[in-house]
Amino acid sequence: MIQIFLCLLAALLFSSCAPQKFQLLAEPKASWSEQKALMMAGLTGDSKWEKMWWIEKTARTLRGGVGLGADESAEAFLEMTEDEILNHFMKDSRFGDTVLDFNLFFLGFKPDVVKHLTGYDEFAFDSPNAVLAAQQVMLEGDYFQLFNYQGTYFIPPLKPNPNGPNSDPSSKPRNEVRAEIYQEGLTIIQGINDWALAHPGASGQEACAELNKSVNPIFGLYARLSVAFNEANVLLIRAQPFPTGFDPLAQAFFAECTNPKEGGPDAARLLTEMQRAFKRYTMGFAEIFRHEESIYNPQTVLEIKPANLSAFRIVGPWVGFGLEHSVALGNSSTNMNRKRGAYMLKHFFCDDLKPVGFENPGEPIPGKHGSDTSCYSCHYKLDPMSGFFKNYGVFFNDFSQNEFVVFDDNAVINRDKYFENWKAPQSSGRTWNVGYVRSPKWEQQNVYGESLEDLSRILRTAPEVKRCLMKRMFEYLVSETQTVDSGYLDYLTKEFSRESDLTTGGNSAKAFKSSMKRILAGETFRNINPEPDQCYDFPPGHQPANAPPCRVNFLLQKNCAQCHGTGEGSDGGLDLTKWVQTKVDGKFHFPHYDEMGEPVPAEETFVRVLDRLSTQDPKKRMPKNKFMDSQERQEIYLWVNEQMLQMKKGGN
Amino acid sequence: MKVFWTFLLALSFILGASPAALAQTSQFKGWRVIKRELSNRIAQSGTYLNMDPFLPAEGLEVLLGTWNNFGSEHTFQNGTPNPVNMLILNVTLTRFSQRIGASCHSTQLLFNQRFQRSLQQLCQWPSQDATADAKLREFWILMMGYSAPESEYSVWKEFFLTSKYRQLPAAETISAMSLAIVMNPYFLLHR
Repeated sequence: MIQIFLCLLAALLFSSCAPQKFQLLAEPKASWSEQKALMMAGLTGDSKWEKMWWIEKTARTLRGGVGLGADESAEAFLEMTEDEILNHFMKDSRFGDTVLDFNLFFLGFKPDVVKHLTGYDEFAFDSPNAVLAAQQVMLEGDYFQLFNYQGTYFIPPLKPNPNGPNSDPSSKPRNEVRAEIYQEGLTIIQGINDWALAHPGASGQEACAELNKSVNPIFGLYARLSVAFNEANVLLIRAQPFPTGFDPLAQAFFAECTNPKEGGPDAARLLTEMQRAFKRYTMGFAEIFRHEESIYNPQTVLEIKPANLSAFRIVGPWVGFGLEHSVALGNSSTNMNRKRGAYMLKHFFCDDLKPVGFENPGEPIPGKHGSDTSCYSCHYKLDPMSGFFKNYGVFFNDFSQNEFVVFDDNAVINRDKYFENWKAPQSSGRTWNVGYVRSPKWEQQNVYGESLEDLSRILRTAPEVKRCLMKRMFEYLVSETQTVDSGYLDYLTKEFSRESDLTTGGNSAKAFKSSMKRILAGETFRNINPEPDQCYDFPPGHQPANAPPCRVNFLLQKNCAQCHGTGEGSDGGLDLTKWVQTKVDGKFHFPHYDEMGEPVPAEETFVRVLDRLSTQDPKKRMPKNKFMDSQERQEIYLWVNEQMLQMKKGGN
Repeated sequence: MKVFWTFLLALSFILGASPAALAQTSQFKGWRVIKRELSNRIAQSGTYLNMDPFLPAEGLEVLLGTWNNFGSEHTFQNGTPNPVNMLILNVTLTRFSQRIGASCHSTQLLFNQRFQRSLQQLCQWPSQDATADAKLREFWILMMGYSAPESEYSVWKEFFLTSKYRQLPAAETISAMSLAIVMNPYFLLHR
């Protein structure tokens, strides 16, 4: 046994024993379409095993992790073309699970397994936009529901025993506890209702005396709620189905009975609230009990049904952040929603806020971080993004109708004073400094808004979001650590944008599926042992000869090649479109010559590139007098840094 | 002789690896995914193999790679192979493989019919009949799927047909065969 383990350990250590025959690489100079034709030819004839490998991996990827089962005929798939296979798997209802899993991955809350044998993981219900978007893909509707953060809430199935078979067998099943609590509350509230109906002419004093009997039993029930309704506790916290019945009544009781106004308690108010409370209570719980697992346990994404939120007392539209989001994206009184803003930038714009300088707006910068340029490198975009959440305090509760905001650290702040943080300067012509700010200098690049609806609109239209979606899709389907050619990413984004464009008859759900197909049929996905720092997929017409490494090639072409291209006229003697080996030390770098025509050492070139990327001096900052996307700037900056590090270590 | 074969098999893996391949950064799939994939291949339809009891202790599955992480954004944790998760996997999957081997004598786990049939054929080991390529291939594909290249199957088959296992009883050999499949990096790593 030890021998086997040793062998396997050796196998693990050298786990990339990649026989070259499986890499199916086309000739380096072949065009994209030629490579594709070669690849397809490689998967026919005697390559049955290789094709089966792709089929099974594709099945697993597109059917929510479920590969080919023992009862499935693998031979049947061999008869089909790749496109037919992809379409076949995408028609499977389990494709909805893949889309849901991807959506949760995109949003940063992916579970291990989105659907268990018994039903969907609780995490899935925490992100209503992920569920809605998955449903829309299956219905070929609006996939961009993923960007909507208002409106829908999905209550997860309420399990009789959510702790599983290993939980304490002596404890009472939760569904029984829920029924007990409901019944006890119902007895109290029905008693109150019946009393009010039977005593329409009761005085305020008499109503107070009746209510006084119920105060302690009601508080006793509150304490037991969180245990009984664990799965739906964001509903308990925000929609308050239990307090929906009791809170307005409690407010009336404390206002009229504990501190009565002149003239005594208002009997009419008390009697009205006593009857309303009963209706609210029964309506709210009827909606909750509709989600007991014995009645409701969806097995496909299309079977997941939204809760009827009219049964609850909710202020404003439902905000699509669940319990876990509320914990992970807590908002203290001093954080000013920056955690939430950073989350949006990271997950929707693929911007993880690595500061690489910023365009100096050329005027004094107001605000706490304006005087510190290194801080402002992030805050210029972080703070306006955070402003979209200015109405939302603890657990994403909406305080837009209140005079105060309550935070996760239990602090309470006057709302108007708090909002001062996002007031725009009068000269701007805007009320709020809330939006997606690409540049503090190039104002026309920025988009502003105020509310979560505005944020949703920005997410739907910003090209960065579509590119981020494609990037994450590639990471999800291939690997998070696999390098992707930025030109290929741009190609995926362009195709996705074109196919999802409503104005030209596009459809985002179809575009989503097409994009997945492109990646699944690509070279990287089918490479059994891809090297993390290599690119295998390129845009059509790509010419790899002597080009810089794929991670930055396209970005350099896009932002720098206009001035630093090939030929004698390349500015500063630097050509950023070539990547050549020097005769002196054999290392690769950009061709760079000084005024005397002498080659500039590679290290010196890199130092200057870093300086030109990060400086705030508009005379030196590159690209000169042009806007460059901050993430693209960041990507080139990080890559150059890595090259310098490798050079110092003796590599490159 | 045993040492020779061990060395030879290990060497075959080493020689097969290109220097650049050492940079690969695949992570483990995670325990829940392993359970689901194996169950889909060899368990009765609509059931999961009860594999959690094979873990050395409750809760250790999180050390084998997981996305689940309440209260903060989810990133894949503990997925990079290291001595601790290798040890846990080895102990857990050894126990699991032993149950498969023991299934020659009595029902241990709820397998689907196809796997049951394949297993029963291999239970004739070391008879000549059980060594046929078709039977070994069926067993390999049912457990591994097509996750590994065919060359991996060839090395695996060759090892069991030419090592001491050629003469050992079925239960012991099938345990070793199963362990060799489920500990194979192509099975364990996310690709």
